[in-house]
Amino acid sequence: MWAERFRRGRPLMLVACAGLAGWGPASAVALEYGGEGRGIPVVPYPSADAIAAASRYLDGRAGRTSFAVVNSLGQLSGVRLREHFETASVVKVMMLVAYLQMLSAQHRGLDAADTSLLYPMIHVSDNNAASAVTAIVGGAAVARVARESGMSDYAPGVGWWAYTQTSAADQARLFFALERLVPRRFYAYARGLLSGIEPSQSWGVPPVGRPRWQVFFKTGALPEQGLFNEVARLERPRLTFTIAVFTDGDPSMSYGEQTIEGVAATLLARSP
Amino acid sequence: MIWLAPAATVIALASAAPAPSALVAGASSTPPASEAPAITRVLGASVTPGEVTYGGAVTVAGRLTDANQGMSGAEVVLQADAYPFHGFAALARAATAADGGFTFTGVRPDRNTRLRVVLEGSPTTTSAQLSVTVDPSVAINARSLGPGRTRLSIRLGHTVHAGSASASASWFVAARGTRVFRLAAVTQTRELSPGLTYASATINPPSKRFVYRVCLNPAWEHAMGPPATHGRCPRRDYEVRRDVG
Repeated sequence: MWAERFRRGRPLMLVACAGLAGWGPASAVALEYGGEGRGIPVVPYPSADAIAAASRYLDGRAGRTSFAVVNSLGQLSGVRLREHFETASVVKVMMLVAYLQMLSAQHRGLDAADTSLLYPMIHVSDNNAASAVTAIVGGAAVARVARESGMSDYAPGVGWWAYTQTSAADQARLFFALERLVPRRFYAYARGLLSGIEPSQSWGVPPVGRPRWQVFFKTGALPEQGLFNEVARLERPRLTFTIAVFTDGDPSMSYGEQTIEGVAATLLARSP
Repeated sequence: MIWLAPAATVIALASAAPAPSALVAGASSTPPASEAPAITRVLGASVTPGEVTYGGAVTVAGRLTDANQGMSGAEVVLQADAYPFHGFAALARAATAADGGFTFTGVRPDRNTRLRVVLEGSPTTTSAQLSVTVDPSVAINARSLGPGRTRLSIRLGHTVHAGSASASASWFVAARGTRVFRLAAVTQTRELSPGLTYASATINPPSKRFVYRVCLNPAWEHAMGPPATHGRCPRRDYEVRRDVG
């Protein structure tokens, strides 16, 4: 629907509002043009209120925490969005994307050797498989995935891939961009892996979101330092959003899992 | 200096009647009575319109008189000093008509410009300085792409002076009948061709019918438009005094 098709613009006077603007004097005038439009407003999901409630919940939990949401309109918000955390096994999704991009670049399909690495790497979070995948794709390929998904806090791990630096914002963006980043021919395969993770590792978001939502996710943990992370993509028809929750210094694994589950429950309390 | 049209064509004015505000005495003035002879040359000129959209033309017209008598056959020179106003240069020439009138038509300044008319051979006989404000040409558009997505766009025709650096375009939206414009997006402009800038943003409309504004501070801003429009763009939501729409 066209609103006003290339209507002639007229310079407009801007009037600052003390309570809202905080810029310039009331007489300030800038080069500004305006018009009228029509459209179909959509309330983003999760709502700003739900995100605020999740923020409050997270602030009441022990340890160092952050979370990010890319809502159904692609808008990023959350708490301590860019605070750095170690990825632990969450980085395996970046490895998966890098590997599938490599296959696509080589005009290859998936064969048994490929799936013998990718499946355990995601399904049971097999570290040996992840190390093998890293050796095949190389650090540059993972870094490219970081760039392509718009990450700003990525830094490769020193000594071990699980120490890769990231932020909740980075990972929420990555999951929101999965459809664009994963070569089309492999997208269904990637979705199958990320939605079919071993039940014992399906804590946090999946038990809260399912069955109302299709949940594609990856958890990560460095239990010795109380670090528990999760990134998830939730889909319903015509509605997709992503969540990344990072925690560090948790008193126990179950506490970390509860924190992530609590964030998810707060965000999903009201159905769209 | 860049002009969009060749040198002005010249048409003699049958009844040159410059705007009073544009009239000004030339260099010569009436000397004391003891000196002889008294010479009073007046070169009056006006520009119409004083503000024009980029690509538009203005007309400079006036009359040269000496002791209130029109001076015919004199050569007058239209001079221009375009932003950033480093000095005047000749733009076109014309001969005055029988009544001393002259007209320069089709003058197309590409940015804010000062004009004056000078009597050839008598550089002190000059008209008042005439200011022409050149506004960018603007086309704006809003197109609904589906639920939650409306694309706003703007195309600006402007001077190529001051380069083509990209600038931020801040997009504000307000539901009809409200007063607060919310910052919906900040995007970068890009130059489609020299002198043609484009910017767009896809936003979630605040209501089915809404009002939007886009604000820019491009590199060429000071070369065009009234100085009063050269303020900085707001960076946050702002309120207007009346309900919009």
